[in-house]
Amino acid sequence: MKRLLLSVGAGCMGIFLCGQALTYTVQLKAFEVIAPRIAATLPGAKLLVVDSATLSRYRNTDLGQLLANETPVFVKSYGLGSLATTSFRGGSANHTAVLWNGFNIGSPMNGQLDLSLVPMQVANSVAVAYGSSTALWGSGAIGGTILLNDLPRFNDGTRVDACVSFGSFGDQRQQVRVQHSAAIWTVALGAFNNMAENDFRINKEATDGPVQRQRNASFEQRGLLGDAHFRWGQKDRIGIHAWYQHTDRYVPGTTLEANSAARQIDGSLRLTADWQHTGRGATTNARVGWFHEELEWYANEQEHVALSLSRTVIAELETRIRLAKRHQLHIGLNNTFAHALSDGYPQGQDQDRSALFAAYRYTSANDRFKSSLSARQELLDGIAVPFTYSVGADFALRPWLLLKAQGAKVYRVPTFNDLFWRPGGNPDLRAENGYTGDLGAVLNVTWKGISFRSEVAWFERLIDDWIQWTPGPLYWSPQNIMQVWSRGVETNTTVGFNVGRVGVKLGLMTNHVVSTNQVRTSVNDASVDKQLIYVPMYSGHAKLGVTYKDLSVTGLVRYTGYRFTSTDNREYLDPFTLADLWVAYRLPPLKSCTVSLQAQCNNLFATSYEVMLNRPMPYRSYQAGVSVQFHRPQRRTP
Amino acid sequence: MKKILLFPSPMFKGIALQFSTAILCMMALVYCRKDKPEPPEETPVVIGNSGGVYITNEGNFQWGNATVSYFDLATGNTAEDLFQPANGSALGDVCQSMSIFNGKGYLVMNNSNKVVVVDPQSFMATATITGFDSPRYLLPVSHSKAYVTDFYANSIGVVDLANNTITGGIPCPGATEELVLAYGKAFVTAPQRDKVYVISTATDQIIDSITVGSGAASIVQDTNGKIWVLCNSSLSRFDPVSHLVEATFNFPSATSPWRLRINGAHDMLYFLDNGVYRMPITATAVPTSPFIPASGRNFYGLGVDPTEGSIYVADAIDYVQRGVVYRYATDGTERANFLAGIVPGGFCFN
Repeated sequence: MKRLLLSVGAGCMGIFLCGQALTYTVQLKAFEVIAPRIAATLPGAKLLVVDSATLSRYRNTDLGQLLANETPVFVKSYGLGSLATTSFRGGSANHTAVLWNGFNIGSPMNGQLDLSLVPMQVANSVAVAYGSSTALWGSGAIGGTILLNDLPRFNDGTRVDACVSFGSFGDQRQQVRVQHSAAIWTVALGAFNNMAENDFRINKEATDGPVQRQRNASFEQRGLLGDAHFRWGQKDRIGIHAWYQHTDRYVPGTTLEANSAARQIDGSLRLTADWQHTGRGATTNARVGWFHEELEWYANEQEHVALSLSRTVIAELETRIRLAKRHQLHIGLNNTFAHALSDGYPQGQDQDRSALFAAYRYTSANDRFKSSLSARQELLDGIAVPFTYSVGADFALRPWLLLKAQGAKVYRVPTFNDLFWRPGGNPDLRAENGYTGDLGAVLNVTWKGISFRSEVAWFERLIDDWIQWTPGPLYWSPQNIMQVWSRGVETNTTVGFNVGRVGVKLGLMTNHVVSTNQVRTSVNDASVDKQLIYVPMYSGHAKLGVTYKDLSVTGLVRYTGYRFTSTDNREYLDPFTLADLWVAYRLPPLKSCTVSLQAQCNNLFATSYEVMLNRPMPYRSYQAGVSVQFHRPQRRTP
Repeated sequence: MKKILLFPSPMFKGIALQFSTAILCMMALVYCRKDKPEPPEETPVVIGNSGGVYITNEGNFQWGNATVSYFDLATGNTAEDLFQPANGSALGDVCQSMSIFNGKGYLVMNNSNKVVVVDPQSFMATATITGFDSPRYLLPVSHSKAYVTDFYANSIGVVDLANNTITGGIPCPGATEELVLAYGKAFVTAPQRDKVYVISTATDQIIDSITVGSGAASIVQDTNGKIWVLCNSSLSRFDPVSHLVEATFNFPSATSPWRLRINGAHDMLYFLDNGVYRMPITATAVPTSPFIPASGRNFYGLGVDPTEGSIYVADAIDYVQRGVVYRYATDGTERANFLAGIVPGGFCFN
């Protein structure tokens, strides 16, 4: 029971709980659907689970917006609907792995994922794992890992969810999801259509001149989602997922460009299938994913199209063996085959990666001490990349105080562009590799109905052979030249209590990240011991949520500190503080139907800010939506 | 069930707790680092008639961080950026080149698709010429008319310098780069077409084209009136009257010479190929060893002062930090070095 309560708590309150709560389990009649590898997320690791209330606030946005507001991930956004990439714990965009149902969906070409291409409709569970987990997830999971999962629910009956929203700058979104879930099978189909003009005002009223608006920034996105699951007995389940998406958008220039007519069309189809078998002593999962992605780029209407395309097949087999009561062994085999072509390698290139990984977990008799040891060996086109491993432990010093420690060796293999781009691509590149360490403490107290939870973490990371494109005599070429030392302290504190029928939740998150280059790359290089560009040294947010009956109001104030735009830290962007406000109201249910209304105001105080140099961001904007949920529970079969 | 104790005594537990608290506090102290950048220390530069050099800093493509620096010859002081302090706004995206004509400075803003006209002393913007596609270099061809080459427009812009407007275009296929005026004709390099276009400044029409090597981008006129064009792997000299190529010097493979410049006496050619090379106009072969070796620097810009002869070379380093500009005497000894802006690429002498 305690275990179940903890799981529910993690889901509803967004509270980070160690160990057992890391299993996102949907428990029904003893059959549990386990999200890939999360069950094995190792002791010592820090995990932030985005709670369902928060998720529902972001259902009409993209992943970039959610991560920027609610997590310590710094999102490098080029504007509304435009490219958005991550920097997590001082890493670059390809040091954050994004996993959808356990599959890495980063592009094999540049190792990154454009977060603006991930609408929040595609997952019903989002978590952020801090720090390295390359031993589990492989290349690139260095700064952190974003875990998106769309978990099935058995025995849930018939559900129809529909949502329509309208917002400033021609923003309109529609989505619908139909699900039928019986005891042994579920089928769900969803569709979404998102579009926006994004012609927001770029000069402030009070200042000078006529209204200037953002140009060439419109955005249209359509997608289909589907999943089906079937289980038999108490032991086996198979499932399939499909995600098709088409995004057509115009790419705005900077405020200093007179005209931009660039256009980008992204198409993707992602198909996955998995089978889970729960045996007496072991649970085995077999998974396969097929991903097709293409990108068409037009500099203007006349200019020829630049096409890039990639296909990735990922196959994985993993098993969790319960060796003894307190000992668990987790072994897996992964093969990732990618084929890609682009202007830089029009003939196409292939890459084959195979990895064997293992994790061993020990839980002490009193459950107060948990530890793990994991290792991974990957072969890149048959050549071994650095052997990686990690060791971690959780220790409950007191019932209310948990200490965490983790150390790991990490790596990132070069991307297709790094290796094959002509001219410049460098086939002799080595994988980036380094070490990370984490220490943390979690304080969890409930006193007179007030729940208080505070987490402090300290991390250190040193990456060698950091790949950087550098100027050469004829053209730019990537080299293993930088060494980057990242370190920082993060805190996350939440307080929750009730005043009569009013529920209050307070949150404060702070991040301090120092990420510096440690080596001189040429004689006049002044970037040594300087912060990497676009890594804020200080950032954080404060949040207040109030609920009264079916009404909830949430306010969030977010601070982003100085970001340097030159490697010598001479040029910088000013810090900014933004405030957002959400109001949601659920109307009294009518039979099986629930109607909810939601309104939000972003950048409440119309602050002028830039995330990226000379890329304007909107002043105040609004969004309002209605969602209708129909739910007819599954009839109990006698 | 027997309870397993990890800590033998409560006292030990207390110590561990205190210890971990202390560690956390120490971490917080050690790792706090000031993020607010220090304002640069600069001696104000007053641009007068004592001579100096403007350095156009391209900045990064699509970042909008182009600047213009100034080095004052009399005092040796430098100004990192002249435009922002004088105008209160950013200059634009990729400052490709600067020319001074009739007491006005013309800043060609490549990816801002415009030419900004400034007062060379105060650097206050007085006009903006808009409507270009991807402008590269501006050459005044008469008292009131200038040509502006363009990378994408397939046309050379004709600008009325009195009204600061584009009055027309000279259609020409492909990109156009540097250009030079001689005998009432403009000679324009066309790097994608292995050509130098010859334009009559009276009629604004292409009257001829001269075939040179591929990648012709920089062009100068020597003291004998002859015109030199530097291509990807060759250097050609032609006669501006007959339009005949008189000499072609080939470079060894695996070199990439660029940025051809000439001194004030118009008898010594300079160019970049990693290091700085120089070659008298009477030479019979291209130089094989550098006049100023790069020595690990990323030489990106080159200029030769037409009046006092100094050679200016810019190290763009990693292209994402302030570049270093070196000033060398004609014998190759370093006289000064100073910081300019991001990606210093061009020099304009006052």
